[in-house]
Amino acid sequence: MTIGNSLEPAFWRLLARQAGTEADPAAVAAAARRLWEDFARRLTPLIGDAGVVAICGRSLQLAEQRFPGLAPVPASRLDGEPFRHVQHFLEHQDPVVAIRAAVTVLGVACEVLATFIGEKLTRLLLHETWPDEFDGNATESTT
Amino acid sequence: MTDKVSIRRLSTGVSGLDAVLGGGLPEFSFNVVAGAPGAGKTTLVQQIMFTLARRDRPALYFTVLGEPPLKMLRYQQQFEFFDIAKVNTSVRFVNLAKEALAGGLDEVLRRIAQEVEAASPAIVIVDSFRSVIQAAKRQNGEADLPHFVQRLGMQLTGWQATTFLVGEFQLAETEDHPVFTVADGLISLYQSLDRNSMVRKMQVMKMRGQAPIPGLHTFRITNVGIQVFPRLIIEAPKTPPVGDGAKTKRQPPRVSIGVTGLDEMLGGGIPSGQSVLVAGPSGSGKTVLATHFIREGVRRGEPGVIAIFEKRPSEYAQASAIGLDQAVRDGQVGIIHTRPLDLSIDETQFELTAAIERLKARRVVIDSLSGFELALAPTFREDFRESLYRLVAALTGMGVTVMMTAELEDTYTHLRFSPHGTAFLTDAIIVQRYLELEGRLQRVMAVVKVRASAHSKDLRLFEIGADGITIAERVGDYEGLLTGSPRVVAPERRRRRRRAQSRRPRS
Repeated sequence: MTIGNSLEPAFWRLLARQAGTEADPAAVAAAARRLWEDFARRLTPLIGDAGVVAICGRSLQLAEQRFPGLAPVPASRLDGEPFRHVQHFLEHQDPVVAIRAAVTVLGVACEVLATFIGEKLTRLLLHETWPDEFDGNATESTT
Repeated sequence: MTDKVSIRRLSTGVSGLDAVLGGGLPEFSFNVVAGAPGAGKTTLVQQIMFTLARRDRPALYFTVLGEPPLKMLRYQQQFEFFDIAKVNTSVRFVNLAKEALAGGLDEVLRRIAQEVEAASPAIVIVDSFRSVIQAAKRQNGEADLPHFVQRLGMQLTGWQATTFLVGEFQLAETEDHPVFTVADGLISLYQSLDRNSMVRKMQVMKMRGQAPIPGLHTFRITNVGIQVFPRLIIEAPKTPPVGDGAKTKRQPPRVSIGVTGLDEMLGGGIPSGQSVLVAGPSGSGKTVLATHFIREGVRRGEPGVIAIFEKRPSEYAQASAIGLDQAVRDGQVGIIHTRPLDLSIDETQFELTAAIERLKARRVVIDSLSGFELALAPTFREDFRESLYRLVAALTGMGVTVMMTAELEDTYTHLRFSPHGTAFLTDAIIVQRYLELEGRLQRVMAVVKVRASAHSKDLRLFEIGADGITIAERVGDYEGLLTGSPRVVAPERRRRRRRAQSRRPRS
C-alpha cells in the first residue's frame, strides 16, 4: 500500500467533517480546496510557492488518469492557485465521484511530496496540519 | 568594572571544525560561508544548524532563490545529522522567494525581521544570500546593498542570533563586497582538482575574536556529514631554561625492537619518542621487522598502532609469521586501514592520532611510505616530504616511537636509503639488502644512522623463520658487498683488519 492510499481514509473523514455527509458537489469542492489550502500553508514555508504549485500540478496530472478532465491545463501553465482548477472540476461531478476525486488528489499529492521529502517528513507535516487525523510519528532527539 | 566580555563558543558538531575555527563558533557572530556550487556550503551550515538547534534555541533557515527547497530537503535528508523530528519544532524552514522576487531587499529584510522576532532563534541561516543580492541588483542596482547588509548584520546580532549567510561568492569578491566587511567570520570552501582527483578544502579567512588555524584544511563529505581534518601545525619546541644544559644532553630511554642482536646494533634500541626508517627491497623483511616492533611493545605493555595502505587489516594481522591476530583482538594493537584514495596527510594523521589516544599507544608503524604516497591525492604527493615531516613531527611530539617502512629498489651502483628523499627526516635508519654469496641469495641488515648515538656499522646476515627474524653473524672476509661484486679479502688485509677491530671499542 502506498502512502497515498493509506492516507485516503483520513481525507475521507476530513472531507465529510467539512462538507457534511449529504453534501452537494459544490460543498465537496469548497471543502477540498480548504483542505488543500490548509496543507499548502504548512508546505509553503518549507518548499516555497513554486514547490507547492509543482507538487499540485504533478498530482493533478497523475490523478487525471482516474478522473479525466481533472487537469485541464498543462502543469507548467498552472498559476499560483492550482487547486482552483480542481474545485471547478469537482463542482461539475456527481457527489460520490467528487468526493472520490478530491480524496484521490489529496492522496496523490502526499504521495508525490513523499517522493521528494520522504514519508516521515510528509506525515509530520500532515500531523501538524490535522493533528487529530494523522500521527506525526517522529520524536525529536534530546542530544 | 574591569572584567572583559567573554565570548561563548558553540560546538558546531562538525568533526575537526571547532579546532580549525580556533575553539568553536563565537556566539552571536555574523558569518559568511562562501564557495562554488557543490562545495558543501549547504551541508556545512545544515550540519551546524541541526547540531545547535533546540526547542528553546530554535534555528531559522531562510531559503531564497538558489537550490529549490524541495530538492534541498530531499538531498539533505540523506545525511545522518538531518533530524526530521526537529523540522518545524527546533528547525524552521522559511522560503523567501516571493519576497526576493517581488519586494527586493526591503521586503526580504522585513520578512526576516518578522520571522526572527516571532521565533527568537539562536541560529539564522540565509541560503543563498547571493540570490538575495542578485534579486536586489535587478531592482535597485547596488546602491542599497551596503546599507542592507549593515542593517541585517546589526539586526541579527541585536536579536542575539548566530548567523550564516551562504553564497556562491568567489575569492576575488572578498576584497570589496560589503558583506565581507561586515562579517565576523568568513569560511571559504573549495574543490581542488588535480589530474582526475578532487580534494575538498576549507579556509577560515577570518573569525573575529579568536585565532583560527591558518591555511587550507581538507575535509570529506560522507553520509555522516562533513568531517574536517585540521592542517598540522608543528609547535616550536620549548626552549630549555638557561643553564639547564645537563638536562638537554640527557639521552632518551631506548625502545626495544624485540629482535635479539638488532637492539645492540642500534646502540641499545630505538631512542624513545623518535622515528626509524626501515628501508629495503620487496620481500626483504620490513613488515616482519615492524611486526616484531609492535609485538615487543605489546609484551612490554605498550600498545601499538599500525597504519597500512596495501593489505587488508585481517590479511596483515595474519600474514606475518609472527602474527598480531590476538593482540588486535585484545585491543592492544590497532590497525588503521585507510581505504579511500585521494587521502590527505592530515586525514591520515587524524586517524592515527585518534587511534593513539584511544589505545594509549606508545608505538606506531606506517607500512609503507610507498603505499601511503600512492594513497594520497596527487596534489599532496608533490609535497610528500614536507607533509611527512609534519606527520612525523606531530607523532613523535605525542611521545610515540614511530617506525616507517620504505620499499627500496636494490641497486648496486649507489647507496640509497629512501625512495622519497626522506632519510633525513628520521632519527634512525635500518637498511635491508639482498646479497649473493657463495651461490646463495642472502639477506643482510645494517644500521645506517641513529641520531646522536653510537651504533654498529656491521652488515649482519639475518634469516626469517617461524619465529620471525634471527640476526646472524657479521658478513666477514668480504669487501665490496654493496656494489654487487663482493670479493674475498686477501689474508694479509684480513689480519690487519682484525687487529684494527680488536683495538677499537665495540659498538
